[in-house]
Amino acid sequence: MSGQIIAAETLTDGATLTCDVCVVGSGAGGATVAAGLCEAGLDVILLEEGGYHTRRDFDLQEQNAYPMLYQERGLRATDDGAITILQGRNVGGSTTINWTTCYRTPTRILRHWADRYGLDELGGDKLNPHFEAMEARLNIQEWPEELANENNRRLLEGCRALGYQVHAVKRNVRGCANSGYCGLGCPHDAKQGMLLTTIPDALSAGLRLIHHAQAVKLQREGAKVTSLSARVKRPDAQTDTGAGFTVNAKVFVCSGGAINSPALLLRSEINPNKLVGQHTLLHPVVAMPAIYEQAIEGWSGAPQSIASHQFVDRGPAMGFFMEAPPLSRCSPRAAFMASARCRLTSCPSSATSA
Amino acid sequence: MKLSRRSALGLGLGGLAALTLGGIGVSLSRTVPRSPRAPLQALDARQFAVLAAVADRVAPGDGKFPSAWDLLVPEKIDANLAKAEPGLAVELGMGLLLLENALAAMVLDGELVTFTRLDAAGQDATLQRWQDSPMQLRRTIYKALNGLCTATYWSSPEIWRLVGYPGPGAHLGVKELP
Repeated sequence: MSGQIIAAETLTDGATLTCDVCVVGSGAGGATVAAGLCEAGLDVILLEEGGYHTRRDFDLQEQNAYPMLYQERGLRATDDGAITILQGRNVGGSTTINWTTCYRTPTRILRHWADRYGLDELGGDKLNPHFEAMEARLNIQEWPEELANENNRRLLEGCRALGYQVHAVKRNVRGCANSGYCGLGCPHDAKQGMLLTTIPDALSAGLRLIHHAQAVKLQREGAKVTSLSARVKRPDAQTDTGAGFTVNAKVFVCSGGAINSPALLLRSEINPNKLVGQHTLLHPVVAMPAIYEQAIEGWSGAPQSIASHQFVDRGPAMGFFMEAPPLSRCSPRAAFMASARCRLTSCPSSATSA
Repeated sequence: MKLSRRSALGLGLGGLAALTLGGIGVSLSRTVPRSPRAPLQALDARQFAVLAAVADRVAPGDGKFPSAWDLLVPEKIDANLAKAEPGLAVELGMGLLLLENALAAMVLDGELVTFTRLDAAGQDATLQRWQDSPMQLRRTIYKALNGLCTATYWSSPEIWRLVGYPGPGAHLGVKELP
Protein backbone atom coordinates (compact mmCIF):
# COMPACT_ATOMS: atom_id res chain seq x y z
CA MET A 1 0.00 0.00 0.00
CA SER A 2 1.18 3.50 -0.73
CA GLY A 3 -0.55 5.19 2.18
CA GLN A 4 0.66 5.61 5.73
CA ILE A 5 -0.60 4.69 9.17
CA ILE A 6 0.82 7.28 11.54
CA ALA A 7 0.70 7.36 15.32
CA ALA A 8 0.11 10.99 16.25
CA GLU A 9 2.74 10.87 18.97
CA THR A 10 5.40 10.38 16.28
CA LEU A 11 4.62 13.80 14.83
CA THR A 12 6.66 16.76 15.94
CA ASP A 13 4.82 18.90 18.45
CA GLY A 14 3.38 21.89 16.62
CA ALA A 15 3.75 20.30 13.17
CA THR A 16 1.61 21.52 10.27
CA LEU A 17 0.36 19.03 7.71
CA THR A 18 -1.25 19.92 4.39
CA CYS A 19 -3.66 17.97 2.21
CA ASP A 20 -6.62 18.37 -0.13
CA VAL A 21 -9.20 16.93 2.26
CA CYS A 22 -9.04 16.27 5.98
CA VAL A 23 -11.58 13.74 7.25
CA VAL A 24 -12.34 13.57 10.97
CA GLY A 25 -13.37 10.11 12.16
CA SER A 26 -12.55 6.71 10.67
CA GLY A 27 -15.92 5.02 11.15
CA ALA A 28 -18.52 4.06 8.55
CA GLY A 29 -18.87 7.57 7.17
CA GLY A 30 -15.33 8.90 7.38
CA ALA A 31 -13.57 5.79 6.11
CA THR A 32 -15.93 5.46 3.14
CA VAL A 33 -15.54 9.12 2.21
CA ALA A 34 -11.77 8.88 2.57
CA ALA A 35 -11.61 5.81 0.33
CA GLY A 36 -13.69 7.44 -2.37
CA LEU A 37 -11.66 10.62 -2.32
CA CYS A 38 -8.33 8.79 -2.36
CA GLU A 39 -9.45 6.63 -5.24
CA ALA A 40 -10.42 9.82 -7.06
CA GLY A 41 -6.82 10.95 -6.75
CA LEU A 42 -7.07 13.42 -3.89
CA ASP A 43 -4.55 13.81 -1.08
CA VAL A 44 -6.46 12.85 2.05
CA ILE A 45 -5.60 12.86 5.77
CA LEU A 46 -7.91 10.83 8.02
CA LEU A 47 -7.81 11.65 11.73
CA GLU A 48 -8.89 9.11 14.32
CA GLU A 49 -9.05 9.81 18.06
CA GLY A 50 -8.72 6.17 18.97
CA GLY A 51 -6.00 3.66 18.33
CA TYR A 52 -5.17 1.36 15.44
CA HIS A 53 -5.99 -2.16 16.65
CA THR A 54 -6.10 -5.40 14.74
CA ARG A 55 -7.34 -8.88 15.47
CA ARG A 56 -4.20 -9.64 17.47
CA ASP A 57 -5.37 -7.06 20.02
CA PHE A 58 -8.85 -8.57 20.38
CA ASP A 59 -8.67 -10.97 23.33
CA LEU A 60 -12.46 -11.17 23.81
CA GLN A 61 -12.19 -9.80 27.36
CA GLU A 62 -14.67 -7.04 28.14
CA GLN A 63 -12.47 -5.42 30.74
CA ASN A 64 -9.87 -4.87 28.00
CA ALA A 65 -12.12 -4.24 25.01
CA TYR A 66 -14.22 -1.45 26.47
CA PRO A 67 -11.33 0.79 27.51
CA MET A 68 -9.43 0.07 24.30
CA LEU A 69 -12.17 0.31 21.69
CA TYR A 70 -15.06 2.35 23.08
CA GLN A 71 -15.71 6.04 23.62
CA GLU A 72 -14.93 7.08 27.19
CA ARG A 73 -13.81 3.51 27.88
CA GLY A 74 -17.38 2.28 27.49
CA LEU A 75 -18.71 4.73 30.08
CA ARG A 76 -20.23 7.34 27.74
CA ALA A 77 -23.78 8.04 28.89
CA THR A 78 -26.45 10.70 28.94
CA ASP A 79 -26.05 13.45 31.52
CA ASP A 80 -28.37 11.74 33.98
CA GLY A 81 -26.59 8.44 33.50
CA ALA A 82 -29.82 6.78 32.50
CA ILE A 83 -28.71 5.65 29.04
CA THR A 84 -25.32 4.19 28.22
CA ILE A 85 -24.13 5.18 24.76
CA LEU A 86 -21.90 2.63 23.13
CA GLN A 87 -19.75 4.10 20.36
CA GLY A 88 -16.40 3.07 18.97
CA ARG A 89 -13.16 4.93 19.49
CA ASN A 90 -10.63 3.18 17.28
CA VAL A 91 -9.64 2.96 13.63
CA GLY A 92 -12.85 1.71 12.07
CA GLY A 93 -14.99 3.41 14.66
CA SER A 94 -18.20 1.74 15.71
CA THR A 95 -17.92 -0.70 12.79
CA THR A 96 -15.10 -2.41 14.70
CA ILE A 97 -17.29 -3.10 17.73
CA ASN A 98 -20.84 -3.32 16.42
CA TRP A 99 -22.86 -6.50 16.13
CA THR A 100 -22.75 -6.72 12.29
CA THR A 101 -26.45 -5.97 11.78
CA CYS A 102 -26.91 -4.27 8.40
CA TYR A 103 -30.07 -2.61 7.14
CA ARG A 104 -30.60 -0.22 4.28
CA THR A 105 -32.13 3.06 5.39
CA PRO A 106 -35.84 2.18 5.31
CA THR A 107 -37.83 3.59 2.41
CA ARG A 108 -40.31 5.24 4.76
CA ILE A 109 -37.42 7.12 6.42
CA LEU A 110 -36.03 8.31 3.10
CA ARG A 111 -39.50 9.43 2.13
CA HIS A 112 -39.84 11.28 5.44
CA TRP A 113 -36.54 13.08 4.88
CA ALA A 114 -37.61 14.06 1.37
CA ASP A 115 -41.08 15.18 2.40
CA ARG A 116 -40.16 16.89 5.64
CA TYR A 117 -36.69 18.28 4.91
CA GLY A 118 -36.59 18.48 1.14
CA LEU A 119 -33.83 15.86 0.81
CA ASP A 120 -35.11 14.71 -2.56
CA GLU A 121 -31.70 13.47 -3.60
CA LEU A 122 -32.06 10.66 -1.04
CA GLY A 123 -35.55 9.65 -2.06
CA GLY A 124 -36.91 6.98 -4.34
CA ASP A 125 -34.29 4.59 -5.69
CA LYS A 126 -31.49 7.12 -5.81
CA LEU A 127 -29.48 5.49 -3.04
CA ASN A 128 -29.88 1.95 -4.33
CA PRO A 129 -26.65 1.91 -6.37
CA HIS A 130 -24.74 3.08 -3.31
CA PHE A 131 -26.41 0.50 -1.06
CA GLU A 132 -25.58 -2.21 -3.59
CA ALA A 133 -21.96 -1.09 -3.85
CA MET A 134 -21.43 -1.15 -0.07
CA GLU A 135 -23.30 -4.43 0.31
CA ALA A 136 -20.91 -5.96 -2.19
CA ARG A 137 -17.82 -4.39 -0.61
CA LEU A 138 -18.80 -5.45 2.91
CA ASN A 139 -20.19 -8.86 1.86
CA ILE A 140 -23.55 -8.07 3.45
CA GLN A 141 -25.70 -11.18 3.29
CA GLU A 142 -28.57 -12.70 5.16
CA TRP A 143 -27.34 -14.92 7.98
CA PRO A 144 -28.87 -18.36 7.42
CA GLU A 145 -31.65 -19.17 9.81
CA GLU A 146 -30.21 -22.60 10.47
CA LEU A 147 -27.10 -20.93 11.93
CA ALA A 148 -29.05 -18.86 14.45
CA ASN A 149 -27.84 -19.48 17.99
CA GLU A 150 -30.26 -20.55 20.68
CA ASN A 151 -30.70 -16.98 21.92
CA ASN A 152 -31.93 -15.88 18.51
CA ARG A 153 -33.84 -19.10 17.94
CA ARG A 154 -36.01 -18.38 20.99
CA LEU A 155 -36.97 -15.07 19.41
CA LEU A 156 -37.59 -16.74 16.05
CA GLU A 157 -39.80 -19.48 17.43
CA GLY A 158 -41.61 -17.16 19.79
CA CYS A 159 -42.51 -14.77 17.02
CA ARG A 160 -43.70 -17.59 14.79
CA ALA A 161 -45.85 -18.99 17.56
CA LEU A 162 -47.46 -15.58 17.98
CA GLY A 163 -47.78 -14.91 14.28
CA TYR A 164 -45.39 -11.95 14.43
CA GLN A 165 -43.28 -10.78 11.54
CA VAL A 166 -39.75 -12.16 11.93
CA HIS A 167 -36.79 -12.38 9.60
CA ALA A 168 -33.13 -13.32 9.37
CA VAL A 169 -30.83 -10.31 9.59
CA LYS A 170 -28.17 -9.38 7.07
CA ARG A 171 -24.62 -9.25 8.42
CA ASN A 172 -21.34 -7.90 7.06
CA VAL A 173 -19.16 -10.94 7.62
CA ARG A 174 -16.89 -13.24 5.64
CA GLY A 175 -15.71 -16.51 7.14
CA CYS A 176 -17.55 -15.88 10.40
CA ALA A 177 -16.66 -18.30 13.18
CA ASN A 178 -20.03 -17.74 14.84
CA SER A 179 -18.28 -16.98 18.13
CA GLY A 180 -20.59 -14.19 19.30
CA TYR A 181 -17.94 -11.71 20.42
CA CYS A 182 -18.56 -9.12 17.73
CA GLY A 183 -18.81 -6.34 20.29
CA LEU A 184 -15.26 -6.87 21.49
CA GLY A 185 -13.53 -6.82 18.11
CA CYS A 186 -13.48 -9.76 15.73
CA PRO A 187 -10.38 -11.93 16.27
CA HIS A 188 -10.99 -13.80 12.99
CA ASP A 189 -11.05 -10.77 10.66
CA ALA A 190 -14.51 -11.99 9.69
CA LYS A 191 -16.37 -8.78 10.44
CA GLN A 192 -16.14 -6.62 7.33
CA GLY A 193 -15.97 -3.30 9.13
CA MET A 194 -14.07 -0.29 7.86
CA LEU A 195 -10.87 -1.66 9.41
CA LEU A 196 -10.76 -4.45 6.82
CA THR A 197 -12.47 -2.82 3.86
CA THR A 198 -12.56 0.87 3.06
CA ILE A 199 -9.55 1.82 5.17
CA PRO A 200 -7.24 -0.63 3.37
CA ASP A 201 -8.83 0.59 0.13
CA ALA A 202 -7.97 4.15 1.05
CA LEU A 203 -4.46 3.26 2.19
CA SER A 204 -3.84 1.55 -1.12
CA ALA A 205 -4.74 4.82 -2.81
CA GLY A 206 -2.41 6.93 -0.69
CA LEU A 207 -4.35 7.79 2.49
CA ARG A 208 -2.49 9.21 5.45
CA LEU A 209 -4.24 7.78 8.51
CA ILE A 210 -3.26 9.44 11.78
CA HIS A 211 -4.50 7.67 14.88
CA HIS A 212 -4.53 8.85 18.50
CA ALA A 213 -5.31 12.29 17.08
CA GLN A 214 -8.26 14.16 18.52
CA ALA A 215 -9.72 16.93 16.38
CA VAL A 216 -10.10 19.92 18.67
CA LYS A 217 -11.17 22.93 16.63
CA LEU A 218 -11.75 23.99 13.08
CA GLN A 219 -10.24 27.37 12.26
CA ARG A 220 -11.83 29.75 9.79
CA GLU A 221 -10.70 32.57 7.62
CA GLY A 222 -13.90 34.43 7.04
CA ALA A 223 -16.55 31.92 6.09
CA LYS A 224 -14.10 29.28 4.94
CA VAL A 225 -12.64 26.60 7.18
CA THR A 226 -8.94 26.45 6.43
CA SER A 227 -7.29 24.45 9.18
CA LEU A 228 -7.90 22.13 12.08
CA SER A 229 -6.03 21.90 15.36
CA ALA A 230 -5.58 18.46 16.87
CA ARG A 231 -4.37 17.01 20.15
CA VAL A 232 -2.12 14.00 20.47
CA LYS A 233 -3.53 11.27 22.69
CA ARG A 234 -1.58 8.75 24.71
CA PRO A 235 -1.89 5.04 23.82
CA ASP A 236 -4.89 4.82 26.18
CA ALA A 237 -6.65 7.28 23.82
CA GLN A 238 -8.02 8.93 26.94
CA THR A 239 -5.35 11.32 28.13
CA ASP A 240 -3.42 13.97 26.22
CA THR A 241 0.34 14.02 25.78
CA GLY A 242 0.28 17.82 25.71
CA ALA A 243 1.42 17.87 22.09
CA GLY A 244 -0.61 18.98 19.12
CA PHE A 245 -0.50 19.62 15.41
CA THR A 246 -2.38 21.45 12.68
CA VAL A 247 -3.86 20.25 9.42
CA ASN A 248 -4.39 22.70 6.56
CA ALA A 249 -6.84 21.53 3.90
CA LYS A 250 -9.15 22.82 1.20
CA VAL A 251 -12.07 20.80 2.52
CA PHE A 252 -12.89 19.26 5.89
CA VAL A 253 -15.29 16.41 6.53
CA CYS A 254 -16.81 15.88 10.00
CA SER A 255 -17.47 12.16 10.43
CA GLY A 256 -16.92 11.81 14.14
CA GLY A 257 -20.36 10.38 14.78
CA ALA A 258 -23.64 11.79 16.02
CA ILE A 259 -22.09 13.13 19.23
CA ASN A 260 -18.47 13.98 18.45
CA SER A 261 -19.20 15.79 15.18
CA PRO A 262 -21.62 18.31 16.71
CA ALA A 263 -19.19 18.71 19.60
CA LEU A 264 -16.40 19.62 17.17
CA LEU A 265 -18.62 22.11 15.37
CA LEU A 266 -19.71 23.70 18.66
CA ARG A 267 -16.11 24.01 19.87
CA SER A 268 -15.33 25.61 16.52
CA GLU A 269 -18.28 28.01 16.90
CA ILE A 270 -19.71 26.78 13.61
CA ASN A 271 -23.43 26.90 14.25
CA PRO A 272 -25.04 29.37 11.86
CA ASN A 273 -28.63 28.25 12.40
CA LYS A 274 -28.22 27.39 16.10
CA LEU A 275 -29.24 23.84 15.36
CA VAL A 276 -25.94 22.04 15.86
CA GLY A 277 -26.20 19.66 18.79
CA GLN A 278 -29.99 19.92 18.88
CA HIS A 279 -32.42 17.11 18.10
CA THR A 280 -29.99 14.32 18.89
CA LEU A 281 -31.87 11.06 18.57
CA LEU A 282 -30.97 7.85 20.33
CA HIS A 283 -32.21 4.31 19.81
CA PRO A 284 -32.70 3.27 23.41
CA VAL A 285 -32.43 -0.44 24.06
CA VAL A 286 -34.26 -2.17 26.87
CA ALA A 287 -33.04 -5.68 27.62
CA MET A 288 -35.34 -8.42 28.78
CA PRO A 289 -33.63 -11.48 30.24
CA ALA A 290 -35.39 -14.79 30.68
CA ILE A 291 -34.61 -18.18 32.16
CA TYR A 292 -35.27 -21.33 30.13
CA GLU A 293 -35.19 -24.96 31.09
CA GLN A 294 -32.81 -25.85 28.30
CA ALA A 295 -29.32 -24.53 27.75
CA ILE A 296 -29.16 -21.30 25.76
CA GLU A 297 -25.50 -20.24 26.16
CA GLY A 298 -26.29 -16.75 24.97
CA TRP A 299 -22.62 -15.74 24.86
CA SER A 300 -22.05 -18.09 21.95
CA GLY A 301 -23.08 -17.59 18.35
CA ALA A 302 -23.70 -14.62 16.09
CA PRO A 303 -25.72 -11.94 17.86
CA GLN A 304 -28.80 -10.32 16.37
CA SER A 305 -29.15 -12.77 13.52
CA ILE A 306 -32.94 -12.73 13.91
CA ALA A 307 -35.19 -9.69 14.26
CA SER A 308 -38.84 -8.80 14.35
CA HIS A 309 -40.21 -5.52 13.11
CA GLN A 310 -43.76 -6.45 14.05
CA PHE A 311 -44.10 -3.31 16.16
CA VAL A 312 -42.11 -0.78 14.14
CA ASP A 313 -45.18 1.13 13.04
CA ARG A 314 -47.41 1.86 16.01
CA GLY A 315 -48.97 5.00 14.66
CA PRO A 316 -48.25 7.96 16.94
CA ALA A 317 -46.63 5.72 19.57
CA MET A 318 -42.92 4.94 19.37
CA GLY A 319 -42.23 1.73 17.49
CA PHE A 320 -39.56 -0.78 18.37
CA PHE A 321 -37.52 -3.68 17.03
CA MET A 322 -37.15 -7.02 18.79
CA GLU A 323 -33.68 -8.52 18.60
CA ALA A 324 -31.44 -10.89 20.55
CA PRO A 325 -28.15 -9.24 21.54
CA PRO A 326 -25.10 -11.06 22.85
CA LEU A 327 -25.03 -12.03 26.50
CA SER A 328 -22.24 -9.84 27.87
CA ARG A 329 -20.82 -10.54 31.27
CA CYS A 330 -20.67 -6.90 32.25
CA SER A 331 -23.96 -5.84 30.75
CA PRO A 332 -26.78 -4.23 32.69
CA ARG A 333 -28.53 -7.56 32.27
CA ALA A 334 -26.01 -9.02 34.65
CA ALA A 335 -26.91 -6.29 37.09
CA PHE A 336 -30.55 -7.22 36.83
CA MET A 337 -29.83 -10.85 37.42
CA ALA A 338 -27.70 -10.03 40.40
CA SER A 339 -30.31 -7.75 41.88
CA ALA A 340 -32.93 -10.45 41.41
CA ARG A 341 -30.62 -12.78 43.32
CA CYS A 342 -30.60 -15.15 40.38
CA ARG A 343 -26.84 -15.24 40.78
CA LEU A 344 -26.57 -16.36 37.18
CA THR A 345 -26.39 -19.95 38.36
CA SER A 346 -28.60 -20.57 35.38
CA CYS A 347 -26.30 -18.63 33.05
CA PRO A 348 -26.23 -21.36 30.40
CA SER A 349 -30.05 -21.33 30.45
CA SER A 350 -30.57 -17.59 30.26
CA ALA A 351 -31.41 -15.68 27.13
CA THR A 352 -31.72 -11.99 26.44
CA SER A 353 -33.88 -10.16 24.01
CA ALA A 354 -34.02 -6.46 23.44
CA MET B 1 -12.93 23.18 42.58
CA LYS B 2 -14.63 24.01 39.34
CA LEU B 3 -16.26 21.32 37.25
CA SER B 4 -17.30 21.93 33.68
CA ARG B 5 -20.96 21.94 32.72
CA ARG B 6 -20.43 18.76 30.77
CA SER B 7 -19.33 16.88 33.85
CA ALA B 8 -18.78 13.18 33.72
CA LEU B 9 -21.83 12.28 35.78
CA GLY B 10 -23.82 15.47 35.16
CA LEU B 11 -23.90 16.26 38.85
CA GLY B 12 -25.24 19.60 39.90
CA LEU B 13 -22.51 21.81 41.25
CA GLY B 14 -24.24 23.92 43.86
CA GLY B 15 -26.31 21.35 45.69
CA LEU B 16 -23.68 18.68 45.64
CA ALA B 17 -20.90 20.90 46.89
CA ALA B 18 -23.08 22.40 49.60
CA LEU B 19 -24.28 19.10 50.91
CA THR B 20 -20.88 17.51 50.81
CA LEU B 21 -18.97 20.37 52.42
CA GLY B 22 -21.74 21.13 54.88
CA GLY B 23 -21.64 17.62 56.25
CA ILE B 24 -17.94 17.00 56.11
CA GLY B 25 -17.39 17.83 59.76
CA VAL B 26 -20.14 15.52 60.90
CA SER B 27 -19.24 12.50 58.83
CA LEU B 28 -15.46 12.58 58.99
CA SER B 29 -15.22 10.62 62.19
CA ARG B 30 -18.23 8.45 61.53
CA THR B 31 -17.13 6.56 58.44
CA VAL B 32 -16.36 2.93 59.12
CA PRO B 33 -12.85 2.51 57.71
CA ARG B 34 -11.80 -0.24 55.28
CA SER B 35 -8.21 -1.09 54.54
CA PRO B 36 -7.44 -1.26 50.83
CA ARG B 37 -5.35 -4.21 49.71
CA ALA B 38 -3.53 -2.04 47.17
CA PRO B 39 -2.39 1.60 47.22
CA LEU B 40 -5.24 3.88 46.30
CA GLN B 41 -4.84 5.71 43.01
CA ALA B 42 -7.98 7.79 42.54
CA LEU B 43 -10.10 7.74 45.71
CA ASP B 44 -9.20 8.78 49.23
CA ALA B 45 -9.57 6.48 52.22
CA ARG B 46 -13.05 7.67 53.15
CA GLN B 47 -14.37 7.43 49.61
CA PHE B 48 -12.89 3.94 49.35
CA ALA B 49 -14.62 2.89 52.54
CA VAL B 50 -17.99 4.04 51.23
CA LEU B 51 -17.37 2.34 47.89
CA ALA B 52 -16.47 -0.88 49.69
CA ALA B 53 -19.70 -0.70 51.65
CA VAL B 54 -21.70 -0.25 48.44
CA ALA B 55 -19.88 -3.12 46.78
CA ASP B 56 -20.66 -5.32 49.80
CA ARG B 57 -24.36 -4.80 49.15
CA VAL B 58 -24.15 -5.27 45.39
CA ALA B 59 -22.37 -8.61 45.85
CA PRO B 60 -22.34 -9.74 49.47
CA GLY B 61 -21.35 -13.31 48.66
CA ASP B 62 -23.23 -16.36 49.85
CA GLY B 63 -20.76 -19.14 50.40
CA LYS B 64 -20.91 -20.34 46.83
CA PHE B 65 -20.27 -16.96 45.24
CA PRO B 66 -17.43 -14.80 46.54
CA SER B 67 -18.22 -11.34 47.77
CA ALA B 68 -17.19 -8.18 45.99
CA TRP B 69 -14.65 -7.67 48.77
CA ASP B 70 -13.23 -11.16 48.14
CA LEU B 71 -12.66 -10.23 44.50
CA LEU B 72 -11.07 -6.87 45.31
CA VAL B 73 -13.85 -5.05 43.47
CA PRO B 74 -13.31 -1.70 45.27
CA GLU B 75 -9.58 -1.75 44.50
CA LYS B 76 -10.26 -2.63 40.85
CA ILE B 77 -12.72 0.23 40.53
CA ASP B 78 -10.22 2.61 42.10
CA ALA B 79 -7.55 1.49 39.63
CA ASN B 80 -9.92 1.92 36.68
CA LEU B 81 -10.95 5.36 37.86
CA ALA B 82 -7.32 6.38 37.78
CA LYS B 83 -7.30 5.65 34.03
CA ALA B 84 -10.70 7.15 33.23
CA GLU B 85 -11.59 10.70 32.27
CA PRO B 86 -10.09 12.80 35.06
CA GLY B 87 -13.38 14.37 36.14
CA LEU B 88 -15.08 11.02 36.68
CA ALA B 89 -13.02 10.09 39.73
CA VAL B 90 -13.64 13.52 41.25
CA GLU B 91 -17.38 13.35 40.70
CA LEU B 92 -17.70 9.75 41.79
CA GLY B 93 -15.73 10.56 44.91
CA MET B 94 -18.09 13.42 45.68
CA GLY B 95 -21.04 11.15 45.03
CA LEU B 96 -19.68 8.61 47.51
CA LEU B 97 -19.33 11.33 50.14
CA LEU B 98 -22.86 12.46 49.48
CA LEU B 99 -24.09 8.93 50.01
CA GLU B 100 -22.13 8.73 53.24
CA ASN B 101 -22.89 12.24 54.37
CA ALA B 102 -24.84 12.33 57.56
CA LEU B 103 -26.01 15.89 57.10
CA ALA B 104 -27.59 15.15 53.79
CA ALA B 105 -29.21 12.03 55.12
CA MET B 106 -30.52 13.88 58.16
CA VAL B 107 -31.89 16.71 56.07
CA LEU B 108 -33.52 14.58 53.46
CA ASP B 109 -34.41 11.24 54.96
CA GLY B 110 -34.56 11.66 58.72
CA GLU B 111 -31.69 9.25 59.29
CA LEU B 112 -28.96 10.19 61.71
CA VAL B 113 -26.24 7.75 60.79
CA THR B 114 -23.81 7.56 57.93
CA PHE B 115 -24.17 4.95 55.20
CA THR B 116 -21.20 2.92 56.37
CA ARG B 117 -22.63 2.72 59.91
CA LEU B 118 -25.99 1.38 58.76
CA ASP B 119 -26.59 -2.34 59.01
CA ALA B 120 -26.98 -4.38 55.82
CA ALA B 121 -30.73 -3.95 55.69
CA GLY B 122 -30.37 -0.22 56.20
CA GLN B 123 -27.80 0.05 53.47
CA ASP B 124 -29.98 -1.97 51.09
CA ALA B 125 -32.93 0.28 51.87
CA THR B 126 -30.84 3.39 51.30
CA LEU B 127 -29.59 2.15 47.97
CA GLN B 128 -33.12 1.20 46.95
CA ARG B 129 -34.32 4.70 47.87
CA TRP B 130 -31.54 6.23 45.79
CA GLN B 131 -32.35 3.96 42.86
CA ASP B 132 -35.97 5.09 42.91
CA SER B 133 -35.38 8.66 44.10
CA PRO B 134 -37.29 11.52 42.52
CA MET B 135 -33.96 13.40 42.68
CA GLN B 136 -31.99 12.86 39.49
CA LEU B 137 -28.75 13.44 41.37
CA ARG B 138 -29.36 10.42 43.59
CA ARG B 139 -30.47 8.20 40.73
CA THR B 140 -27.37 9.13 38.73
CA ILE B 141 -25.02 8.41 41.61
CA TYR B 142 -26.77 5.12 42.32
CA LYS B 143 -26.60 4.03 38.69
CA ALA B 144 -22.92 4.89 38.44
CA LEU B 145 -21.99 3.06 41.65
CA ASN B 146 -24.17 0.03 41.01
CA GLY B 147 -23.02 -0.19 37.41
CA LEU B 148 -19.32 -0.03 38.30
CA CYS B 149 -19.63 -2.56 41.12
CA THR B 150 -21.73 -4.94 39.05
CA ALA B 151 -19.58 -4.77 35.93
CA THR B 152 -16.36 -5.19 37.89
CA TYR B 153 -17.74 -8.10 39.88
CA TRP B 154 -19.20 -10.08 36.99
CA SER B 155 -16.20 -9.52 34.75
CA SER B 156 -13.98 -11.33 37.22
CA PRO B 157 -12.82 -14.68 35.81
CA GLU B 158 -13.37 -16.28 39.23
CA ILE B 159 -17.10 -15.93 38.62
CA TRP B 160 -17.22 -17.57 35.21
CA ARG B 161 -16.95 -21.15 36.34
CA LEU B 162 -19.55 -20.60 39.00
CA VAL B 163 -22.15 -19.45 36.48
CA GLY B 164 -21.41 -22.04 33.82
CA TYR B 165 -19.62 -19.65 31.50
CA PRO B 166 -16.64 -21.32 29.83
CA GLY B 167 -14.82 -18.08 29.18
CA PRO B 168 -14.30 -16.20 25.92
CA GLY B 169 -13.21 -17.82 22.69
CA ALA B 170 -15.31 -20.98 22.57
CA HIS B 171 -15.47 -21.17 18.82
CA LEU B 172 -18.01 -23.19 17.02
CA GLY B 173 -16.17 -23.47 13.76
CA VAL B 174 -16.04 -21.30 10.69
CA LYS B 175 -19.30 -20.98 8.81
CA GLU B 176 -18.83 -20.19 5.14
CA LEU B 177 -21.87 -18.74 3.47
CA PRO B 178 -22.73 -20.03 0.01
